[in-house]
Amino acid sequence: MPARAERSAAAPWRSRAFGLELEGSFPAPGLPPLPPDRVTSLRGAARPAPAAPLTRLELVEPRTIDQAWPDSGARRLLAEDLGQGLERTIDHHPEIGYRLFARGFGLALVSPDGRLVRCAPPDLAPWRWQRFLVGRVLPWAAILSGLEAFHAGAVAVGGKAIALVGPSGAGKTSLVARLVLAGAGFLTDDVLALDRASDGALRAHPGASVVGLRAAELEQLSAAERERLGTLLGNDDKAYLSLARSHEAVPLGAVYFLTTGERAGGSIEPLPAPDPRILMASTFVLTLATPDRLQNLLDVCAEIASSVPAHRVRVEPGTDARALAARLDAHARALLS
Amino acid sequence: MDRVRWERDADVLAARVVVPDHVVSRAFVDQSVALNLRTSRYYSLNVTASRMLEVLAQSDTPAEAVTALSAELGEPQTVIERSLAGLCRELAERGLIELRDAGEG
Repeated sequence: MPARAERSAAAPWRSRAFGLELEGSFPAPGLPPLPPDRVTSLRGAARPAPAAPLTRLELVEPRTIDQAWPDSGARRLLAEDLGQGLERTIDHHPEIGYRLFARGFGLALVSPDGRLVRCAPPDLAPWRWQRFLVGRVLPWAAILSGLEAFHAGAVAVGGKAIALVGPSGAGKTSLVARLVLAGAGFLTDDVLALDRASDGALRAHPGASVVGLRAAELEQLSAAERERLGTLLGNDDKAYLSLARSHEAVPLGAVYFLTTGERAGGSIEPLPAPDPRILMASTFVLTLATPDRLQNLLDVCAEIASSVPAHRVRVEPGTDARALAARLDAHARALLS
Repeated sequence: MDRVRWERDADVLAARVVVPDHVVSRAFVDQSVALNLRTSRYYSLNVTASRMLEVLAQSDTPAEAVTALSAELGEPQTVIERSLAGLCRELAERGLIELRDAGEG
């Protein structure tokens, strides 16, 4: 089926990701639907109140976004040019919201409060263009809704989240995959949304139910492990797999900072005083600098520093991901028991 | 900040210190971070500076804070006076406090 026709061939659904309750009606392989008993008919019948802010997702044509975007009054927040033209842009208009663009992935318009997201993707299969939706747009909407998003993978161990924080290439996805294969619950691959429960404790929310594994990482998994891990959606720069995951947030139990290129690879050292600069620089979104957002980032980081055990994991090139994940799993289980 | 007005330590120590509403700070394990919401800038304060700012916020003037800090930090008052006056000037430069003449609203 052509990608454009495939887009509209889906019944309305509701899902949860990044702390948002999502509502849409297009195929979304990375956003597993809530069980039917949680969602009555979306066609006018009364629905249960959402557990989190409701964000509606709509597919539109690019001209719809272009027509909604004013000719003046907007400010460019980000322009990423890697030498072959603009790769990504983010523009802000105080009344209309945020216009996000990614070359090859299309346009998105996010309302100022993050409650409405309109996507105008190119003619690609859902799993492919939705890398932009789940990798950039929804984390942005989550921050607008009051959550904070960190550049981290996470799994659930013993009912609590362990976050693996680090830049691209640090090994987050490899470790997440290995931990899931060892029995941990998958939460998220690249972006971890946090907020605080009514008692002030930090909660970690599931992200998209997709991991992107580099070819070298995939090759290290046996065929049985690949099958156990998830369903292959497609191959691009990485292999994208859909994994099973819960819809529910869990308390944040521990944070592991992955540092690369150092000796003593594989060591796990306690960080009794995490550097606030490293914590704050681990945010996934650097360009949204409203007062509310900046204060929320500070609050969340201060809460992490004061209440969540932190460790540094030294990862050197060639580290055996299987062995490191086993050590990390044992360490986390002992810590959280 | 008017650098000429607040050049002398004695003037700074006699000033009224106000922490503006647009400045928020949070404690971390071994330092604190202050955020100026108007400039969108974060500032890190070490343990000593954090404690000085905390006592300053509770005192009418920096001079009043000197006595408490001298006892707490185990340093002579003259040392604390110099450090505190310098800190106040730096914080004021960054908009994290405001220095006002005593009696000024």
